[in-house]
Amino acid sequence: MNNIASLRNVEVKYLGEEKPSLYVEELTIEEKEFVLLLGSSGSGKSTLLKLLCGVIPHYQKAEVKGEIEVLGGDPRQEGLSGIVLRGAAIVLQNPDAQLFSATVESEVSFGPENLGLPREEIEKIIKWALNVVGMSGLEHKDTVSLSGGQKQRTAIASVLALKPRLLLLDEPVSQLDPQGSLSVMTCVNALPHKAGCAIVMAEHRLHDLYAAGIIREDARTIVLDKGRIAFDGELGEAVNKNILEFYGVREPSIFRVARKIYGKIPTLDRKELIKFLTSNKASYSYSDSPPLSSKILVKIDDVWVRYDRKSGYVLKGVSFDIRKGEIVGLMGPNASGKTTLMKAISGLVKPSKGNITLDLNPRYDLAYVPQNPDLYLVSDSVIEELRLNPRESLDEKIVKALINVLGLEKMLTKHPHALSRGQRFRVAVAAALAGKPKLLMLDEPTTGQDQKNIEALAQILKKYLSMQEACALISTHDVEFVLHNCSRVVVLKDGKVIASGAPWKVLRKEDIVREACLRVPDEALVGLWN
Amino acid sequence: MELIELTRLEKAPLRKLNPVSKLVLIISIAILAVTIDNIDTLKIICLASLVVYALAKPGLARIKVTILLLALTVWGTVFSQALFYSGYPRTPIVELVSPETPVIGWATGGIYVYLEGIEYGFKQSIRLIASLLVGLAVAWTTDPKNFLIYLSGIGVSRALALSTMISFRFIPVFVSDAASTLAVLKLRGMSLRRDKPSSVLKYAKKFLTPLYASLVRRARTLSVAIESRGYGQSKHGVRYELRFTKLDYTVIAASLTITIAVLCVKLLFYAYTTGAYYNPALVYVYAFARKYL
Repeated sequence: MNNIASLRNVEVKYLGEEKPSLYVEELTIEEKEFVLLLGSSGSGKSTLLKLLCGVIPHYQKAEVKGEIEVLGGDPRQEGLSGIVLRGAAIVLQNPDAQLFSATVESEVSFGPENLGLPREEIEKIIKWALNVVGMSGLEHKDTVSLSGGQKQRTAIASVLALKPRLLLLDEPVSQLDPQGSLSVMTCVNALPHKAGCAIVMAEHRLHDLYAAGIIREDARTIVLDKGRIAFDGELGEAVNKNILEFYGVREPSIFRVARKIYGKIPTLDRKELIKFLTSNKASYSYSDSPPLSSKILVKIDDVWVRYDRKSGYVLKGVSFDIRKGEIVGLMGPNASGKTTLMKAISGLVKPSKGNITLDLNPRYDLAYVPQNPDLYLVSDSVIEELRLNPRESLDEKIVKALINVLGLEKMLTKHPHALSRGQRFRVAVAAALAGKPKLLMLDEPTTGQDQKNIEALAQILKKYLSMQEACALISTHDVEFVLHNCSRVVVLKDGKVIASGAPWKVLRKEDIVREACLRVPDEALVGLWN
Repeated sequence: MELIELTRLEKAPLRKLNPVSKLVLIISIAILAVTIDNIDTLKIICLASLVVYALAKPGLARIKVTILLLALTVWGTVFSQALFYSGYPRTPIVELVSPETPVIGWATGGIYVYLEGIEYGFKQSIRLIASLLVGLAVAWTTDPKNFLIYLSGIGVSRALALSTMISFRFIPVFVSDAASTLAVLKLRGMSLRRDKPSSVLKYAKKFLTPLYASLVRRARTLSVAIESRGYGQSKHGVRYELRFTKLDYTVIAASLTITIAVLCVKLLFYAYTTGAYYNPALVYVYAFARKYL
């Protein structure tokens, strides 16, 4: 096979940074190869992808040294448009921010139109590209009304329309629900065969890829650590040698279960592993959640919400309560009413019917961190951000603990908007907790976070809630996070509660999980909770 | 308010026009609104803009956003002109700060609400409203991609075409992000205290910082996505397939004719009033300009 990209002694240093963010001694990518790029937050995955397509140094200024050749050109000299002309393409994380046309057909046709191809040929390409990503028949659909998974597949089809030889995917499923993620990953997995291009994909959500059953044992896996290649080999070898765990990559939780029982992972084949663990489940069990406190902090009673008289209700008779010390997971497909419910609890939206009773001071005791952390960060430095809260007084002990556990020590004087997305979200969570709220509401807190940071978030939440007699409501698609960290889960669909209860009971009901666009956690499949 | 209601491209009569004719229409209305001084003619321009807006068939959510934007525009311009009108004559109708008030009164000579300021503020807001209505109508009825295709196709620079497209693409996103930022500020204990100018500035900074950061990040992602689809890769330009219908040609011709005619008449009238140029044969033109423009 031919090399289509090669890097030798490459060093990337962002402007203003002292140390290089990426150092690659030797790396080659071959034609039609599938490469999985793994590593913790800030390990250099995105930097490598952006370097390969010329986004660095053209869009993001950085000093780049060494030899780089992508499809016969140097991305530093040719920039993104030059490298695209040679046959490379990149798809980024946020599907909403990447689409700009009114319909799917219009979006996919943009690439071939830029090549000046005749209309008949463009139509053939559109059909082919949509067929490859499994979206045939949706040509005339509005891009705004697509699901998250469909949007991301449209973005992939749009670059496939240029018939690339190298497709770079930067966390393409990080912002999708498990079913959207499954649809995108099934499509990506087939691309080397169907579209004949090499794929380099950076992704944090290995657990979702594994659950989708599309990660092969022999898939080439590159693990980055602090900007250097720590491992380059087959996925099976990385798992067996505990390399993923060692470098902070979030593994499927079923791997951890298998390791705890057997000290190793008997097989990487998902079906086999589940069968194996199911037959040996007696040797390992989880403890149930502690009993709930009797003190109710938030009581939601038959709440109905609509934004105007003409449109329908977004929430339709939602009822549940949140007790002291509880972390409640709020799950459901996009547009099921999760964000509206959080706004209603915050008093930002008034229910048309029903009541929300809060046993706390709504002026001081509520905190809400939206999915886009940019909209939460209003100060000029991280430390200023932590000091800004509605109480106008600060508990230095809590601030210190937050800085420590969430790993913010080295960024206190930095501008919050100069940090990575994962770091920005952690700063926003720390700022929210620094105000000592009685109810903390987080929207998709695990997006873009590695294993270490997710564990730190769970740890600080539990510690905080036990110390402050508070509670938390977390909107998320992350079934493993809910299973391991929430005392209860409330599942919404079309504005109604379709299920509520202990996560291990609710999340193993296949009908509920399917309706809510989630997936059954592997542990539940294995039957580790009975 | 759901973002989808603001971003979906509705089927509306205005969609029959291509982006070039729509942009010519916007630019013409903006030039006419700025050039014309006669309040009755300005009202006619505003009415014409309202017709264009109606042709976009906006739904309830969009009408609500429009009303909010119009209210802010009128309030902002009338309020500022009423207080800070510097022309003469001016008639104070309300005294807000007496000239004898220590510091502020002594420094400013008193702060008043001026009748002529209110009238001038209304006139200015009519100008802004005319452009705003057409701008929103165009944003809601144009596939953003077509701004890139058509502007590049008629030879507009890549950077300008990209900026135009991004600005139209982000109008609905901006509205949604602004609403979320206001909600976050409220929950973080930051409220707007209109009585303290320093508090207003502090609040504005806290409001604009996250909004700006979010939009810059989105704009960067969008630019990468656009370039990754091969936009601007050809050094010698691409022949895009552009469709100009009779309606497009009519709109472009009418907009340009009216705008150029008004500009010429205003220029001649200006030359006459300043004594730079006078021609007795143009006496009807001067009379028309004085009465209607």
